[in-house]
Amino acid sequence: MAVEFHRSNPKRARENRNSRTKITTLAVILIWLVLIVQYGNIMIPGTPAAARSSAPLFERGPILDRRGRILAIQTNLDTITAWRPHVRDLNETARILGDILDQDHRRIAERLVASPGFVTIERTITPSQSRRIRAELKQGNLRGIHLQPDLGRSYPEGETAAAVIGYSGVDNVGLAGIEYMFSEHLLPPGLAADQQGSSMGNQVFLTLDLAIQTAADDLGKRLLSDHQADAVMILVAEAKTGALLAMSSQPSFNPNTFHSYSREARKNPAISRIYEPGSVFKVYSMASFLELGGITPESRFDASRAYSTRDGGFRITDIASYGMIGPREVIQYSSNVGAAFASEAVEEGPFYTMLSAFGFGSPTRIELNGEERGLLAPPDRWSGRTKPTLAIGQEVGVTALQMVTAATPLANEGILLRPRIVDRIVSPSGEVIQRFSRDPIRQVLSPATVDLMLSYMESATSPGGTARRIRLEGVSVAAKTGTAEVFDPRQGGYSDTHFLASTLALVPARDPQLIVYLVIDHPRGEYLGGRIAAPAVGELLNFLAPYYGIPRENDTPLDHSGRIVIRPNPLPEVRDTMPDLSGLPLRSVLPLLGRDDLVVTIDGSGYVVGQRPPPGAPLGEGAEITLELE
Amino acid sequence: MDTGGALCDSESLHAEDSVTVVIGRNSFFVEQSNDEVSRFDPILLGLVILLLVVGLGMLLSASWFRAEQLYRQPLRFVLRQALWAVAGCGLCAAAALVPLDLIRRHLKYLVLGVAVLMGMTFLPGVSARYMGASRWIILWGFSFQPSELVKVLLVIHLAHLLSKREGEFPRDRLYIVPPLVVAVLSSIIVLLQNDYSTAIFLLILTFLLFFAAGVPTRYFVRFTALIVPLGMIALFSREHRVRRITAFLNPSYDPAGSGFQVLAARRALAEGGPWGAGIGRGVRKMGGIPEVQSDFIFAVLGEELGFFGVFLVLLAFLLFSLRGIALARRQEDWFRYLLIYGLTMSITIQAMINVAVVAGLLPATGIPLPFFSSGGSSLVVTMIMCGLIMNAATQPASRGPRLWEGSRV
Repeated sequence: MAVEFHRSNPKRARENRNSRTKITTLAVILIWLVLIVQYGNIMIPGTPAAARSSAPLFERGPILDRRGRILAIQTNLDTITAWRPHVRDLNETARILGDILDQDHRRIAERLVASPGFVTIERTITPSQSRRIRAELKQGNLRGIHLQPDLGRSYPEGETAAAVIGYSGVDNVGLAGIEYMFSEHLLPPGLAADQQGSSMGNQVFLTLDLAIQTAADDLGKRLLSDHQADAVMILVAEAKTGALLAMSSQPSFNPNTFHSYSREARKNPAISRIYEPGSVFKVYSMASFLELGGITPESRFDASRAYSTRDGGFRITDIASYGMIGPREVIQYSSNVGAAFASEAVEEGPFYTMLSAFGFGSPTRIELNGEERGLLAPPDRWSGRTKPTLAIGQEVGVTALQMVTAATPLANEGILLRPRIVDRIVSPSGEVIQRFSRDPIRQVLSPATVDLMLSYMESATSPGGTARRIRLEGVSVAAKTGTAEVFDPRQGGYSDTHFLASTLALVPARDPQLIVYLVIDHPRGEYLGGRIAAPAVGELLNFLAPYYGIPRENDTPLDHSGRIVIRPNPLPEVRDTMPDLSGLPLRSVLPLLGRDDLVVTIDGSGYVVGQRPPPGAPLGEGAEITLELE
Repeated sequence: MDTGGALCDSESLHAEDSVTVVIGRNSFFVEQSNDEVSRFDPILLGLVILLLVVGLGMLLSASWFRAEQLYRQPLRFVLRQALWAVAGCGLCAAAALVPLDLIRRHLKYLVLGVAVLMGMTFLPGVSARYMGASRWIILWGFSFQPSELVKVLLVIHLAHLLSKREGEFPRDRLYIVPPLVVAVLSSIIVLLQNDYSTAIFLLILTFLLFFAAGVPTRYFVRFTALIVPLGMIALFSREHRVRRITAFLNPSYDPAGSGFQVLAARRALAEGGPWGAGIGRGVRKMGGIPEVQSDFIFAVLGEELGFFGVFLVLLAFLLFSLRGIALARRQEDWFRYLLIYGLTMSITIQAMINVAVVAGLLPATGIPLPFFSSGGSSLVVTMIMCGLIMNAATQPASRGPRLWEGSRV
């Protein structure tokens, strides 16, 4: 064992001590100098750190519809603050501010006395109020009052698409909807200020089309009041891409004043409200039975009597007796009995797998917050009545968006698409940063099944079908109506008064371009989907088809090449009887002024909106004609 | 000694000179000292008084708004702090005059006392919880943070243990173990109070004392290898610590949350500019920075006095550090040397950490700025430390002639 001898050496220890204190001294001087330099760096203007810390204004990027119409935009409004020690006459100050802000001056005085130092009196006032306060400040009437720029958020379209856009709070933080989900794009965390000390986030373009959204919102509002319903949801999607053109839910809320609504009212029901869809679901159940080979177009079911389970404990009935019917009639007449009998042709497992493949029971993964997955129990938890009940769209919980998403295979040769709400993200300078395109998920149906289902759904809109009240000139529509019973937890069963009327439509039926889904929750009075939801869908389609450019069957397609010269509408001959001149441009009616035999007065410019005498009236020599143009 | 002889020298007693009465067990004598006060290092004393006065003034400016808001008494923080400062001066004088041997002999009672106080923070009734930590005990309406006492006691204890070796740490002996155990135990007790930054601070202090005591370099490698992983585990075991680190690395990541204090402090500093907004005229203290009167008071100083004021205060701290180390080097006695070194570094490191946090160079900690931050325990302990430094720095040799001697019998 090696023994180490240690020789005591006080001198060496002392030298060591001296060198170590020297090192400490140097380190201490160095660290203090670094700190002093760092403070100088922060505090002396002109140094890089000082520029960074001068609170740059980070502007949140706008949210726009697919055509670039603004849905949410940053506003730079003023906030009134007061520095109490400088406020001279408290009551006078409160009176002036009260007048400008149109508030009780006593409330402002209360706010002023609330703190001896810095007081915020009102956040984000209007520009005209700012102007008036500036004028008062200039005259020296408001000592101690300051206007500070405060970035706010404005939603120029108000309630329109509010549930999708969401809202952001006073501190420029996205709290819900796109504002929340795309916060990182709208206000990137690493955003660096430019030379002007301001910087802007990216622009988020939605797939929504403001015109379609507004039409859906207007229709929804009217349906809500006409039927005194609890809620109305209308979804319009591009069938080939899964892009949502409208996502409307009424009642809505105004994101400009979102504080004044309850948390519940600010939700997006199209993705968060779970309900039993009723007969519209037959589209998916019957498609499943066809796809699984359990039934064929030639299958026949006895719909002349009620369906009952084998133990006889549970009965499903129709409102009428349809006799022996096939799958086409099940869809056309919405026969519960037929659908229930059809369900016996498949096993529970494959049926569940098919419904899952349609996306039921799982979220659609749309880029919105608060999406529910719905309820679809696995087969081991099914009772004896679950399979026939599922076939008619009860005992399953869906969201409106799931119903629309499940319809995408019908327009895409059986491929399910992921629904999209954001079209593209564009940098402030206009470069596209990210484009969201069609996102196929899986093959759900074979093209043959798709063709069958579309033709069945088309017959539902033919005379005798449940969706016959959808009337669209020249365009074939595939549709399915539904009237769902709503479970009442207090009653412990389905309610006798609470129904949910809905209709799903795809246009054109042969090659769907649009998917429209409309739900009226708890209508009072008439409640059948075919009677109230289908005509509403028809009304919306009459706006959508021409707007979206869906060709009518009897339109002449222009498919030859060459130049097209569009001439101004020719003026009809004005002879013995007065023709209909309405809609003609000024250019076309001007030649009338040259006629000696007529006294023509033209009011305004643009297009003819009114005429005297009315069309068909006889015209004599020297007749007076007055045209109003707009 | 001859009793009468000393009286003959009474003519040499001048008015400005002072005398010391030394009372022994059964005899006493009066001793003339050239200047008793000047036995205390005048530079250090001047710096301490300067920092104390500037600190109180800054606190008055920084805290009146918050005190007015919280208690409707604008002077509440300052008056309390002034009371503590008076107590601190008394304790400082006591610490400066108490014989160091007495402290060394009765060290175990001091350790016991502080341990009891630390234990009391875990007792309901006398302990106070504030912002998720229970580090305070409340007695007679005053809250006190015993972990501050740990700072001074650890230095005394380590200086006591390490000085016995007089810079010699032979390879075959485990002399390093007792002081290491003391240091680690202190850190663990402080860590149990959820006071991570003070625990780390104590370890840094230990490291420096070991360094100054001549502990061979080979130990430091082992020491680091042991402490760093443990420290990391403790760091990531609490959410708020991780959040502070995140806020430090990227303050704009969560500007409304943890990063707020850091960003607000930075803005206040930037607003101060080179010359400052003037004393009492800063606006960031009006609720702009959370807890401004304690850990972020330096931001107020920056805003009101500008870089000029910041520079002067940092310079004062720098001179304090240098003077302290210089006094330590001068000591023959290893205990006095280590005591002065450790106490000087204790105040220096706290000031450095606090100032670095405000400048955004370190994540937010709970380390106060000595002399400045509101909080009686910190101020009192800082003053005790200064007293001890001056005590240890006095030269016991310079004895004046005895003026008078008598017997107590």
